[in-house]
Amino acid sequence: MVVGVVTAPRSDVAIRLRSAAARWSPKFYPFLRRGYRWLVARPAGDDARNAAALALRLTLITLLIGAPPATSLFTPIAAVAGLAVAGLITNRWYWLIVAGLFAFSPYVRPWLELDNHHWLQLYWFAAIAVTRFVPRRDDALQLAARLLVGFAFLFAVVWKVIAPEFLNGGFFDLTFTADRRLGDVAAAIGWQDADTATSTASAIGQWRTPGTQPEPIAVTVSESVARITPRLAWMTVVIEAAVAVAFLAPLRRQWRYLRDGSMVVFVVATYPLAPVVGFGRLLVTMAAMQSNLLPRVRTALYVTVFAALSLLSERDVALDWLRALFVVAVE
Amino acid sequence: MLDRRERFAAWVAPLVLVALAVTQLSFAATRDLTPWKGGGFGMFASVDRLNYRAMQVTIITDDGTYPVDIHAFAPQSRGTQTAFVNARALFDQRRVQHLIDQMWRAEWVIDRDVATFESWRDDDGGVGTPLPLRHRGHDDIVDVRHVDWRLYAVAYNRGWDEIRPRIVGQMMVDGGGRNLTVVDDELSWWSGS
Repeated sequence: MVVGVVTAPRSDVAIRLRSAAARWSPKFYPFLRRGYRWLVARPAGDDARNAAALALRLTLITLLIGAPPATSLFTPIAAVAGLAVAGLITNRWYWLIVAGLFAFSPYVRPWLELDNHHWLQLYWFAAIAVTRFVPRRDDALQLAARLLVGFAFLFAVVWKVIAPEFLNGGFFDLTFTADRRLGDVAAAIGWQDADTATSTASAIGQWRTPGTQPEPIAVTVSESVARITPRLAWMTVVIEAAVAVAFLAPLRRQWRYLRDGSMVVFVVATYPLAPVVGFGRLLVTMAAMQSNLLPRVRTALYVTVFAALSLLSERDVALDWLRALFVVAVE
Repeated sequence: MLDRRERFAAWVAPLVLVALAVTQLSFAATRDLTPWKGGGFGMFASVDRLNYRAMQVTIITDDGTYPVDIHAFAPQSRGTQTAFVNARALFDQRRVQHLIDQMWRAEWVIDRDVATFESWRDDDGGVGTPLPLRHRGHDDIVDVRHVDWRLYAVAYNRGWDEIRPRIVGQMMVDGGGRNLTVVDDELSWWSGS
């Protein structure tokens, strides 16, 4: 039996597209080539120094636009000075003073109130300050950034694995139902009523009323939320574990882009849902420091992600976008 | 390759992170520290958030019991805020005693059967002296027998149709603000039920 191959007749549209591409590609090619060369060209100076030039600036921008409220006036002044005064950003004493002021500012007390990204920010400033005093300071900071991110994610994964309500989706069930940050997202895409998170959080808040004997609060998790939460939990653990492994494993140079890739996947998967933007910006800054990508690729990637995260802090805008995307996807 | 000094400079902050995170894990496991706090990266893992922890304080006197509006007392000063946050995050005798120290530095008034913060004491009194608690419009100090401290956390797991209060701990202190004793020491690890 002979099996013939039937090829569809090439349509006029395809022929026209092909001829247009042939006509226009020589005109665009030089621009593409120039753009590609700009991206992949390795400027003078070693990797670590280029990475530090980017990461230290992002650190100061983070300090300028996302400083905790109690850090006093020194924070924006120090950040602006570091960005504006030539040579200050490479000055070891400048970083020692900034780190010292930051560590001993009122914001670090009470320490049991600090969020995890506040701790990570303290470690990051300490790492910058300490590494400024060794000869190959940027190489040392590159290692410190990689280890800090890796260990932070490792412990985040450990917690998610040992908490019995996480992997089965219970944590996300409650969080969608009682935390406005996620509850609003669920409401925006039609998974639950708009006031669910607010009313549940308010009921939990009633436990604080003086003289109250806290009573159980009836809660109804919508079918849509209950369906998605176990998958969300597993996806979170897998992504965070991937970041931890990529950052802690001593990868060969050709595999190190996995660190950048895993971090970008984490940011894209996490922050539209849980907009703890300050944490995201800090992680992106540290990931930029350890990155072994070509300098311009690194700058383009991390500045883009950093800027996108900053836009996400405009919560209502982000929710409108999410709603629009969901509608488009469904339709 | 980095030399020894450079390697030390690179590792010092990550090692502090690891040390603190391990400590936080052990405190959460043994002393019911909220997983969200303490630098252990346990946020977005457990339902036991600091924000959800509710403290209930009750003053027991000869003529009745009066709940204390302790959540409204917390923002009165930096010291009270620190003590309140610490006691809710890690409900142990040391931290509850710090909060008691703050409470005994204040004048309290009973208004609509709730004891509320009135002002800071003018004298040098503190723990060891009677708690300056008065009914509104009266000068006599109410004789406090003891004060009951309880902390509740949220418990929830998949399939439950309700969010349950879980008692983290209960302590009792005498009318002088001393002799703090643990009433319910069954601090459970993820008990939830």
